[in-house]
Amino acid sequence: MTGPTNYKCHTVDPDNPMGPRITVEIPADLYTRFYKYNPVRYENLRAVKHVLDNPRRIFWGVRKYNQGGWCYVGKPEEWYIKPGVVVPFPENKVFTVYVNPLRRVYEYGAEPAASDDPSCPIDWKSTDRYRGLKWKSTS
Amino acid sequence: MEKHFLNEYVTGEPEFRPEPWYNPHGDCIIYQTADEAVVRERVDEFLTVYHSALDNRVIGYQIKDVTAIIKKFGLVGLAVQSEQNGTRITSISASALLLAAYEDGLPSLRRREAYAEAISGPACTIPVSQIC
Repeated sequence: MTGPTNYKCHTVDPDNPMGPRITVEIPADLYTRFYKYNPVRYENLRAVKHVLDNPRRIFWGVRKYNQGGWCYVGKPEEWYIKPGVVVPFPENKVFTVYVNPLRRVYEYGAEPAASDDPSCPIDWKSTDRYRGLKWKSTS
Repeated sequence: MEKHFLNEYVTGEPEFRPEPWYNPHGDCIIYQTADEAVVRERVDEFLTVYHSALDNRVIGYQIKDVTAIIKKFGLVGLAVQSEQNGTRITSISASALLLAAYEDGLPSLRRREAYAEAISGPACTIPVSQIC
């Protein structure tokens, strides 16, 4: 008998945005944990999938000591704010999805949007936050 | 809302647990005290504070680059010993980890407030065996 498997999403390749989509995985142990112990986070994996399907910005270099990794940014239409309660995703926020160098999702949530680019999280230009903007949607 | 795309892979009755845990995919400790949507506030390279999307109160935090902090400061000062069913367990204190992370950055009012807020929560430990 096999356990649950990592869920495969297909998203823009930060290194070749015009090329074929790459696979980014949602680890089975992560979604199983959220399902069991953090149900609202589990529900908001829907927003993770939406952002990976429809990213607006991709940043690279998200950690000081763990090299690599990306931050995919987007805006889901709605999200869960508490058990059983779904509301429109706020205009003044973005949804960020953090992906490690093995292309596995490890963290996500809303962040305040930047005033100079509402598709970016606040402080996106700060060099101690991201190494840089890797890609931006033109649509 | 349509059916969750992962529902066929999960079973059992969900029950929220407000306890810290080590996430190996992100080399981070995640601690969330309420089952509510999170608005992340990045404080610095080590700490992100979680605010409730409902009322903006602090409902947890993420400590990043955990193994780097342990490598830099060593287990001495970060670890606590306990005994469970006759077995000795070494755990990492989340508060000690936060203090070490705070020491590593430049002082600022915002950092001090955010770290104080994170440390003021319940004392939490994570077994070293989960991390190293």
